[in-house]
Amino acid sequence: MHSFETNVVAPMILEADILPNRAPDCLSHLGLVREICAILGFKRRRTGYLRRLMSKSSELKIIIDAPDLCLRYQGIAIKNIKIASSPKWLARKLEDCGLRPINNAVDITNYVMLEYGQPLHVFDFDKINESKIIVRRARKEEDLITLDNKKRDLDESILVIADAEKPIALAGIMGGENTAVDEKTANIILEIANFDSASILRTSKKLGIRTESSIRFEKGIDPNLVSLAGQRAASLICQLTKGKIAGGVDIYPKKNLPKKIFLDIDYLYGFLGMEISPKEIIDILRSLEFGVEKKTIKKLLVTAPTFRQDISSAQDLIEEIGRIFGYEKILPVMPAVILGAPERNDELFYENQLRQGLVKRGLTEVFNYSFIGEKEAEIFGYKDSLVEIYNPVSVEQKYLRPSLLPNLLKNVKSNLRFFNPEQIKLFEAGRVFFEKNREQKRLAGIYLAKECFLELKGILDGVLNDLGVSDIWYDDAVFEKEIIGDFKNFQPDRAAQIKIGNDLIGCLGEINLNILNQTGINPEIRVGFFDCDLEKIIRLATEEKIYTAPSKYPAIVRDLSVLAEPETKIERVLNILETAGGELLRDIDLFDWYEGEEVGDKKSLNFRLIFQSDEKTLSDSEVNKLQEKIIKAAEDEGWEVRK
Amino acid sequence: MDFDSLKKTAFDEIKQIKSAKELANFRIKYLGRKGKITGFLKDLVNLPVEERRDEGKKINIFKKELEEFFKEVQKKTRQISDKKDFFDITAPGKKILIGHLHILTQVRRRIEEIFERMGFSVAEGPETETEYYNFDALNIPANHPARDLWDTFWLEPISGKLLLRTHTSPVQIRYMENHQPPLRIIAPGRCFRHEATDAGHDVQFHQVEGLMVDKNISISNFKAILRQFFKFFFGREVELRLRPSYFPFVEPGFEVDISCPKHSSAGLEQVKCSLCGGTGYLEVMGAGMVHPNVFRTAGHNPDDWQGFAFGLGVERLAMIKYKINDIRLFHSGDLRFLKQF
Repeated sequence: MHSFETNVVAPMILEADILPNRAPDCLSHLGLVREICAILGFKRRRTGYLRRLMSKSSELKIIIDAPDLCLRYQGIAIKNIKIASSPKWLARKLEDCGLRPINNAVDITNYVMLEYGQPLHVFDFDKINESKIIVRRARKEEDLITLDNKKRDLDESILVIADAEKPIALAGIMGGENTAVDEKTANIILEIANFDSASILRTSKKLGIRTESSIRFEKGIDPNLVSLAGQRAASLICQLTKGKIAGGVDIYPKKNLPKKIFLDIDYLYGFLGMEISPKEIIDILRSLEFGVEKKTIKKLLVTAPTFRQDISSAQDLIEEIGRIFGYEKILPVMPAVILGAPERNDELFYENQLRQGLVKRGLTEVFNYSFIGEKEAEIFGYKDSLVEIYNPVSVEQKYLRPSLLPNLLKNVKSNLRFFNPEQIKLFEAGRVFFEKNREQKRLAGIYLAKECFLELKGILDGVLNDLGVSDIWYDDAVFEKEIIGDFKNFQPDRAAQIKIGNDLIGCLGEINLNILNQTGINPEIRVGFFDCDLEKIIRLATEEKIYTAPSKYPAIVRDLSVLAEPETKIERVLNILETAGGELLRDIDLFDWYEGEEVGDKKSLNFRLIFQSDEKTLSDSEVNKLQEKIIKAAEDEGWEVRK
Repeated sequence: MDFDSLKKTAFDEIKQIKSAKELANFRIKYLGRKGKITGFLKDLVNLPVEERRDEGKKINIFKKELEEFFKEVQKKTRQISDKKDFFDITAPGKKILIGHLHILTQVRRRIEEIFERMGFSVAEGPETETEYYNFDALNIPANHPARDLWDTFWLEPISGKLLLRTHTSPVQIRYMENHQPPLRIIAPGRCFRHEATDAGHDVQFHQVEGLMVDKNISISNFKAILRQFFKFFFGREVELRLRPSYFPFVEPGFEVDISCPKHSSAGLEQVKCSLCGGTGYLEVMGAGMVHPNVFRTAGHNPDDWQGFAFGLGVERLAMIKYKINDIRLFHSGDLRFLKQF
């Protein structure tokens, strides 16, 4: 495991997954050979095509009008060629690598590109106007028919190769039809050049063209590679086409020089966590064709070859050494650090408590997608302040969810196919999103049961009490702008705001029939829903629990029945009775209530009152006095009291 | 009825008892608070004083006799009743509805626990991120081919440069901007990628980011900590394998594989394994040593600190550990799936 993942595709064909940062030197056979030699410790055979062929050509003129986008341009003139089909060995090699053979000259350019990773191109010399090649930005009015027979509209952001009159190629991407090499071609210009990677990437994306040439240029190539590839290609072309080199031009104003980097061996040890002998370090670097000079015992001066565009720091060198040496050889050793317990993340701690609290009480956690679609926005009335995705995967996932409700209802609908309503009790803790980059953690639950409202109320009381939150109460629903939309999604008479003290925490209610209908859920099923601001709850949570010893003295239990008008709120009755009862009224439990004809269409509430003192046993007469006080308070409100 | 005939009736009746219910009724009738014997005892006041003691003695003797006999019958009746009132112990137990934590929550909690034990704090970051924190600060500049490695969801308006985070790595920067090394954190969270959904990929997934920075944190330390983590997570020793890889925010970068749980020896090519396809290894995370540019962006000097960072996939680990074969199940809301954990 030293360089890349590979796959044997056929007996003599290996497919390699080149990492993006190694594209400049490894999208080529040469690059892979270098890697293999480094890993296996072989010496690479240096090919020599050192014929000096850069005699000046008076015929060919090359002008670089965009020196920021073209770092080097070499043009070699080859005359009196015979275009023919490539010999079998060449055609087969191209096919093995997934390229189509065209003719001997063009095929050599592709062959050498695969060999060295340097793209090349051939133009029909005689079709070039005034024998002039100009490397420039295109003009708005210009266009070019590329070799794939498509017309491309150009503009000033696009770099082209042009002759005296018109563009003849998209630089680094694809040649033009107007200068294509065919059977009639007698003279060619071989182009070996280097272009700015960002520009090639931009143009490639803009025009939607990706070629073997453009994918190499867009990652960046070492301009020094032009010499080697040019010599190799010119030599092979002459061989196959029987042509003769008639001079060339090489414009390379700013030479790319090798980088020199200092490497501290102790730093390397500290980084890998293991010592490697200096000799081995130097051997590895040299096997990768890096130059190494020993400055001191512990310090090396390393020269990175120009074909390694990805090397610029000591850390890059350490990666080279580490990977060739083999990470599997590094022995795992636990770090020695200062002992200390991590800070507890309170937010997550309480969040987990809340989840556990709901699970204990029978709800199952779901994870839904963070998106909703146009349809949900309609049904639930979330039209304002929705966050829209610029590039959604589908219309159903066009917006970020402003509420957990829509997807929870979807869960209900799909689970009803396999489960009875009472088995469907779900909750979700997740983030919702509003306009202006606002994101909020919320906790919501959906609960199917005949008495879903009251059961959920009990559950919420329990869950919040577990967190040490007291002072929870429920308020009549009043439309408030702060909570996005969900109030209008409740049945109007079965909706409440959940409050802790003066803080609005969330809402609780039964989903209205209209919504159930639109969501495809049988409206006869009662669907309870609650939704809370998780962050707010956590801020109010506390772990403080103080033990209260039960009283040593016995409690006295009395029952009381209150008859009131039907719209009388139980909470109010409780308040009146509790206030009248005072401290000695330890507990008041509404154990039964009913309405109907038998009670004269009023509301009958049955309370169990528990009287107890911490200091003494209460006497019957003391309790009676208290009870009378309570009864009077109730009667003062106009309620009838029965014992 | 007088006392003597009561005695006779009682003993006759008791002999007729055939079930636990009848036994209970008998007890109430005769021996209970409002039973006949108590009734007789109460009536003693109607007798003249001299007779009361004798009569009382008689009644109490009888009461004792009856109670003894009653106990015998009770014992016997229990044996008979239990045979007659047949109770089938093989009937299915009554199901109680319980709730379940989502498997991803369970796995996330497990991961947090293991790292917390090693002194790691848990940090979080936003799901809607800025281009800066998601890319630029992580050494992934605009117009760089590296950007193409992540398929991003952008938010409207595009000029706002907001996106849905593609990884949890932004939390590294956010945390380091506000904390001085040495530090070690994990940052779990939801991430998004604009890619086609299939059994192995989904638009939404969960990662846990890890970061440990100190004076001398090395690759060797990284291997040790992760080996420890996987040992606790899978409950057995695992072999770790580091392959060279490329991420702009680390240098060197690795892909980390673990030995496949299905084999006893990793690397057996012949075995056609459904989990690892015979390679013997499963890819579980990307990692590397924090890139100097990342330290600089976060406001720290790369010459003073070094450390490792990693990103592991929660769904991936859950799928390996629990043999779940389709990633889409996690976000399906399907109770048939959720109830299994």
